[in-house]
Amino acid sequence: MQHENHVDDRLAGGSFGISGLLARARHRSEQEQGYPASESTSPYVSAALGQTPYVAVGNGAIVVQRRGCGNWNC
Amino acid sequence: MPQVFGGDVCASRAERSEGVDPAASEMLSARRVGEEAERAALSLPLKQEKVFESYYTYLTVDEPAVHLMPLHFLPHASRAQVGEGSLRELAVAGKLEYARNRWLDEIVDHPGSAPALSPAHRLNDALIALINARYASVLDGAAGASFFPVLSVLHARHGLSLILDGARFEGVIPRITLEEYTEHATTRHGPVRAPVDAVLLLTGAADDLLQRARSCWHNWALGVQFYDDALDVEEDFRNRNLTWVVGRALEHFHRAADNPTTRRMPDPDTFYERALAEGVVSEALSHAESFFAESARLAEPAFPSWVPFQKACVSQVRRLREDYEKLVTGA
Repeated sequence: MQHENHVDDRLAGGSFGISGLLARARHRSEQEQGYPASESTSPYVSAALGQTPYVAVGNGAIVVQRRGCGNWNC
Repeated sequence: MPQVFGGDVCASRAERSEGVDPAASEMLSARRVGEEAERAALSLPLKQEKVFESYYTYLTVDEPAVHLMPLHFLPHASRAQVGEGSLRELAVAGKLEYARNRWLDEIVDHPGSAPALSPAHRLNDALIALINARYASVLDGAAGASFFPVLSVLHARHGLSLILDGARFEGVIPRITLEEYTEHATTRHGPVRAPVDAVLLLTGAADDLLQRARSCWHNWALGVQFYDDALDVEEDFRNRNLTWVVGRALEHFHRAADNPTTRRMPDPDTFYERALAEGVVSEALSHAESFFAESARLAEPAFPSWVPFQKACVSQVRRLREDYEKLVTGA
């Protein structure tokens, strides 16, 4: 049984009838990752998760620095 | 499984660190940890080797959450017990291990990127020695006796997780439950957790606090994993990396095909469109939110600085999920 047999009518035809969804989703993903599609060839580029702007101070306080980036807390 | 703790390595450290004030002498500075880890790696005689470049690239990724793990997980009640120098040694060890973890991820997740055998082994050996020396410089006596067997187990489990991911899938897709995937991902992240264990053992923390810290950290790592998987679902499908979200999306194509040998792979665009339209990407992000929220819950009250970070993670993932959902419903 091939997968096409299980695609319902709404989704039939390969593009699913959802015009531009892929392009818009990819654009949003690129925004999230902070780089344009043309630069996405690096195998190192990923989610930029964890790039928090924290600097920690030895007495237990945490100072949050904003560095103008597009990631967590920025 | 793709690389886990993401980061864009295009910018130089100097550019990325603009605006950060490293002046205060008592700081455990994320920037300083990163720079010290880089210096340690550059002291290796292997730095001229091609394989080193691949490793070093990950070392230059600013990951303050990783750099500052020993401070985040230093129990609040033990703040006065551990000096900045010890924390920094653990942090540098953790950063060296983090970069090693991602370097190995790259080899497994990107077919064709494998380095020459001998240089890879020599670099790995040198890094392990460097990392262990940093830990040993801080953890002596009972703390060291407890820590190093744990580190060995984390490395051994990590080794199997790499082998399993390296096997890939072709044609027949194994079913993978959420529980199975989270267990597997936990082993894949394992060695990066070591600074958490180290700082808690250094302070003589009770076992229940150690277990709570581990669970707290792994929930964060799982949140990162699901977030990353949601963003990388297309790439992972193309590379035949079986993540939970890839498997879940494929279920929508293969639901009625009982015989695995008759299932056919969709083309990548069709696959991604359906993953979005069926809400699979959103589902992965919902799981990420739940993991971050659980990490925040577990961080209270012993690890208070970890809480706002987790809450920020929840907010960002939720925003992304809601945006995807609007795109689908508005299409």
